[in-house]
Amino acid sequence: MNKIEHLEYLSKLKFSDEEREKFEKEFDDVLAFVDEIKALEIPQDLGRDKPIALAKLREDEPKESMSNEDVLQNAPKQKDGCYVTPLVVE
Amino acid sequence: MEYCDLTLIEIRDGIKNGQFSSEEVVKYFIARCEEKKSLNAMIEVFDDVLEKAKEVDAKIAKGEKVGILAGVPVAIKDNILCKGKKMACASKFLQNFVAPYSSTVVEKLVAEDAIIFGRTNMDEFAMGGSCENTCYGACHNAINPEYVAGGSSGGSAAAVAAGLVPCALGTDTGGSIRQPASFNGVVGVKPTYGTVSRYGIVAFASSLDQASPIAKTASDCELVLKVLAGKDANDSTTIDNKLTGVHKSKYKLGVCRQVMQAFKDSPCREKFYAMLEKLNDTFDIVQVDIPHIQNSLACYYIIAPAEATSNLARFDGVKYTTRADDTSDLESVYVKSRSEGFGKEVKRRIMLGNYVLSSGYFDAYYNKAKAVQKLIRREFKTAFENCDCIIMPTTSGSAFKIGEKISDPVAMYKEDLFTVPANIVGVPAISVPYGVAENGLPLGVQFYADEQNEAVMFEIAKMFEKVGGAK
Repeated sequence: MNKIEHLEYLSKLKFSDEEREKFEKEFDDVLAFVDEIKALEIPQDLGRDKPIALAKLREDEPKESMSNEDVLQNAPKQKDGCYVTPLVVE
Repeated sequence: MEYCDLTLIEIRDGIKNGQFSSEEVVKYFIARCEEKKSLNAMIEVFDDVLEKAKEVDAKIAKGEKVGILAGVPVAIKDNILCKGKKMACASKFLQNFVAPYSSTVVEKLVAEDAIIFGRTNMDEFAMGGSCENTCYGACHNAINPEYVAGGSSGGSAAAVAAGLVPCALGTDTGGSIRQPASFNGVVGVKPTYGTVSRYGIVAFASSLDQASPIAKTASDCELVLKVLAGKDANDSTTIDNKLTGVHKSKYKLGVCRQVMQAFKDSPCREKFYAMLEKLNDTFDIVQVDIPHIQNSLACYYIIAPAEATSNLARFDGVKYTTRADDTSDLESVYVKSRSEGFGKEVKRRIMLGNYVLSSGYFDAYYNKAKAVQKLIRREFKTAFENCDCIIMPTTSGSAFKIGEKISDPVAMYKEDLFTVPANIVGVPAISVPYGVAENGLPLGVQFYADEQNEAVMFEIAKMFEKVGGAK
């Protein structure tokens, strides 16, 4: 598996051979362009990341949420209030 | 009355004072959209706009209390949810999607009685700088249709510039509001990160995305941003930005040496310097240094795709996108649907994101970019100790021709050089038109302010509109 095929696998994408060839060339151009940061020296005193303050959580009060119908309205396939996919477990 | 010549505030005041009705205004803009259809800026005008306008008119007629945007039409970019309306992120993958709930920004506009007017064209999933990567076909520049509208919020900027609507919301992850605003000769703002809730807006790069208005003037943008801003229980990254600041009798503008170095070969350099000259009486102009500002661009093209690849994992052909035919197992549902659904630029960024996050490359790219981001943040902090705003061009040149850069991704990415730093650092920036380039297209200048210093940024932008802005 070459680099691009491996990335297709990670990305859940599939290119045709022709697309892959064209893509590879463009992808290398983009990598060459972001590669500049590899050579940069980072000062030692930058410090650690500030922890992100946790947002104040809302009170745990029951309230109405989206209806099953609303949630499913954009599903390409649905049945009996569930998403339909090909069989996952035999 | 030619409502397209009025600012949002003038329209708002006219409706409030009974000079004209919201219905008249909305009817006018519907006709205007029809007339300028070939621009491809508006994807859709919502079918209930006249009804909503009449409701606001009735409230005003009865003397009821109305919101501060009562009766004013505001368009939204095609990645912002409005309950019951279609939203597609300009992607054929989402062509059948209907929003099951409204974004916080839409709720806030509606609470102030604005009319949610319709959807604007954009680059697919907000990825692009020209509004050519779209399933609806390229959006044209409002000044010259042979040129791009810019991106990704190209439809929003072109719609405002062409007078199809007085204000439109865009989203800005690396300049997607400010660059198209500049290309079309209108004003676009990106607030401090966290000022505006991202709830109900399709995520691209969550740590960089902000929604905000595009309008004709800085005052219009300020008014609408005040409506949009605020903490939101549905977005834990929101902050309580009051959009206030300390007024001064004379403001200091910083010119960044490294930016001007990068701008030295621009065909618009002389025009920019001539404009700076005119500001000497109004502002103190000082030089500032941000040594690594140019590295923001590489940081951006690592961090943004890394976040995008995670955010776009949800589009899988199961929950809300279209599903490819002839799929045998779950894996093929994912792979086939995504391969058919996403456009080329989106695929490129997903792949790039997975590359920089993958084992063996994570430290060299992603972690390094995060460290460089921190370094640039520190340099900005130091620069703001010496000035109130940093002034810099929005883009290196004016709009380019449709098709000119579409097959050269790196050339397209380099367009973002002066806009990306605001997102990488998280500070606010506004683009204001100042002149016209050789090709007859508008030029924009940006004012960057320190975190949560929007009030000063807007005041400076308004002063600039008087002394150096395009008339």
